[in-house]
Amino acid sequence: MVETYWDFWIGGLAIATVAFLITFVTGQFIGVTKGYASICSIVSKHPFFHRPEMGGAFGFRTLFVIGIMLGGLLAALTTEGSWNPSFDYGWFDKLYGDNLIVKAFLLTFGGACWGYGARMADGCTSGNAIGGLSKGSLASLITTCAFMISGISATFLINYLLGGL
Amino acid sequence: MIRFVFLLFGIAFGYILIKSGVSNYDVIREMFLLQSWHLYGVLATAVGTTFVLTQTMKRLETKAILTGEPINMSVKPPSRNHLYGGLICGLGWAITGACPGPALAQIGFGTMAGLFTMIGAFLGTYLYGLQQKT
Repeated sequence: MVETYWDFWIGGLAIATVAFLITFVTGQFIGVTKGYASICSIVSKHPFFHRPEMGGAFGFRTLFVIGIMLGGLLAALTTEGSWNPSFDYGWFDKLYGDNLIVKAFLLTFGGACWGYGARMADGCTSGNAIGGLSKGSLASLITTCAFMISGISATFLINYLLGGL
Repeated sequence: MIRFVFLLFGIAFGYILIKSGVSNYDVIREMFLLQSWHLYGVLATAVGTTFVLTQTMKRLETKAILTGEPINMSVKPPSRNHLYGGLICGLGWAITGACPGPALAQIGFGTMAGLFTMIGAFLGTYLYGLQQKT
């Protein structure tokens, strides 16, 4: 699938516009992983998932998560070649091989790192790098630097070990 | 009302995450291997613009439209967890090539690898939550 992307500044301004409107309209700050916690509160009675900041079961953060999926679908439906679901994953398949079990295991592990790390650090990319930094949060600056450095290091290591360099 | 608004913002955000390349494994890989500056440009533009807009709202003591309340600009004090959590997130990013948001957009877009990333993110969130007392 050949995909072309917006120029970087259009993408950046578009993200900033959504982040700004969320705050301006609702008084909340953009963030995705609290939405995961809000969905956990649907199936778990544990108090952590029911903290007010998580937005509640089927609350606005849950709706944000559902919206992002629908937005991805919208992008597929409005792109030439239309919706063509596949487990193909570009360079990932070249590095690790095209085995669905291996892929499922690695991606689930990586996703678990995201889920665990983001709760530890009070947010993922959107919550910390976009929302937190805009408030001038030192904690968000630390987290942002940490995940960029860690991401660069780990990617170089993975590609070195698996012949992707 | 706030839920409907967030559904709309979510749709816009998901669409943008696809169109800007943030949801593509190869684009993320190129960014981390310092082979392409596209995503650094996206991130820098997004962070810089949002910073200016948020600080402007702070200065003007803007009230949120839906609530009529002043916007809560409080931040959490930095802790070791912000460092360690960030490092763990970076490892997750390097493996999956997608943040928790873009993984959701991938699923809608038809890049079904995002399904595993999403399931993992739920498991990680759940595991962390169970370890907390409150």
